[in-house]
Amino acid sequence: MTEEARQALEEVRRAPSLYRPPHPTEIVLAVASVGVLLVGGSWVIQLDPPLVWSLVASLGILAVPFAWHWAALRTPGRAPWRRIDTVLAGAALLAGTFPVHTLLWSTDSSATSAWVAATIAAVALAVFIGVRWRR
Amino acid sequence: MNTARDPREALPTTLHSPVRLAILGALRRVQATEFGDLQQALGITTPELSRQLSVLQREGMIEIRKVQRHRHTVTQARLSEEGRSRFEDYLEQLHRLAFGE
Repeated sequence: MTEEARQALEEVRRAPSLYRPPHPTEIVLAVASVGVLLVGGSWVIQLDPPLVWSLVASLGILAVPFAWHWAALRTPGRAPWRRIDTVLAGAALLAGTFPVHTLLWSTDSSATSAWVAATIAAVALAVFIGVRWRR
Repeated sequence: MNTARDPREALPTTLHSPVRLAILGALRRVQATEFGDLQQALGITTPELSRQLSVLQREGMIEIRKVQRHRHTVTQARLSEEGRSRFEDYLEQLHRLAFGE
């Protein structure tokens, strides 16, 4: 019985890896998403567009972490979803509200506050994506 | 008469096959995988993999779903939440048996 158990454990240990490294297109999309949140987010906040355009930009900003969360749940060949992934996905979505808040409710947005809000959103998304790419 | 069986009792029987152990061992390390990737990694035929996956699905160990990708239907397999937990318990039991810890 002991030997059978050892053989079974060996079978499991020797099981092939099904990990899929991120495709170059996915890496490009990730860099573009983080870049858009960082540069586009801070730019649109400083631009201070009319309400309608601010709402459109806000939806665009929030769509980025939502889209990555949606994709991460469906991509095969990635590490099993753990509690840390849920926490980081939530953090990325929450961080996405920082530039939205600054865009919609801050009456006098300085360049610094715009960059800070956009950086928080971009970093949170980058961390989430990076963690999902772990082996 | 109560004929319901404890699912944990069925687990070692289900896992008696080295192929099924390898499938679960591979699925354990990923969120989900595609049928083709699993087949290529294990080096077994399509009918054989389908048969083994059906056994594991019947036992509630794995979930299988069809997804559309670029106009093709792709089959994905993953450990079910319950299956993952049962498999980890089973590995712990095996470890205790093998090494007496």
